[in-house]
Amino acid sequence: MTESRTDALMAHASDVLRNAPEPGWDRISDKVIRALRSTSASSWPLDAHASEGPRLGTVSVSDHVLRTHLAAEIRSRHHCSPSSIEFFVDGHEIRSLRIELTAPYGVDLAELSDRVRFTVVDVVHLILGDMDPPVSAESVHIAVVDIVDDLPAEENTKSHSEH
Amino acid sequence: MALPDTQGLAEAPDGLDPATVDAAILGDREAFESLVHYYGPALHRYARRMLADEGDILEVVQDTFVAAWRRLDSFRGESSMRTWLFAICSRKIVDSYRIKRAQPIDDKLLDPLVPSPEAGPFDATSNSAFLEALEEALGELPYRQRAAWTLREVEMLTFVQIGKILRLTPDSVRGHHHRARANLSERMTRWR
Repeated sequence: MTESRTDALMAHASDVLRNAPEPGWDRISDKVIRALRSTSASSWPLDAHASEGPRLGTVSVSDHVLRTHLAAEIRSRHHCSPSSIEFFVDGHEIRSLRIELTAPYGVDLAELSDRVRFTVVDVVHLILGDMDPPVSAESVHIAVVDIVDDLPAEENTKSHSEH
Repeated sequence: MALPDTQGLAEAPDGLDPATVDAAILGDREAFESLVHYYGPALHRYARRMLADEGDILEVVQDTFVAAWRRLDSFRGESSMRTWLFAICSRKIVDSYRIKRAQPIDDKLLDPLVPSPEAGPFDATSNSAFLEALEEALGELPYRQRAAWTLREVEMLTFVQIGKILRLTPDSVRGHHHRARANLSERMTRWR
């Protein structure tokens, strides 16, 4: 077998190796998923305040919970997709947030940013309660970091009509 | 104090919806499980060539995804999700101290199974035998050569990406890949 012939065969072999089924993965994938479901993501505790009701006081809420909830709410309420949600905290109190978004062509970005900003304030207040000082629209920084042709259909569910 | 979170992806992974990746990075468990199913076969394929024991492969792949889930806040988007996961996997393999050591190949494996000059290595009868010989030859390579060749030729990663995964410079990766390719070609040239 000549060297060039071997090179061609090696290239073909790479394709075959790449595209061959991986039955070993099928055997372990359930175990991997089970292990993941019993694992907590790393998180930072944020103070949540109850200002009324029978159990006044402060409890801790994982920043992971707040981030996941914010992302889901932004995706469901607006025609955009968050790619980064960063909290700026003083100890365990949120002081401000920075949200990075991917938006589709043709959307009014300033309007979108305002709507997302108010959604963030709404969700933060819902989860963390009355903070002193409260997270306001001014403390939510929105950056649209990418523009795409369109977003997946499930991203567009409630769209603009909510606000 | 800023609680670090993820930055946008520098490069979108092939075939996987970037919005799913973003959701996973932001802690959506269901989206992360989509990542697991998408990247799992490739990580398993890589770990299988680097490790000898079936149990070690499971442990390394599982620990890779568990570590990624725990360390989502350290993903910076400086590399793709795929590169990041392979880098974690590579560290788990090295840390396991159970890397499949280079094994001198039995030359009989390279003997022709179908000793006909007309029969090409990918004729139906000899296809699997060629691949088996290739896998055996791969197993004979030193770890870094094997890793560099597998990541380049099978996973189609760039030398820069492989360098991030193996913690080597791109030039060093290129050198390991070149030697791996030469060694494999020499072995497989003898195969017919």
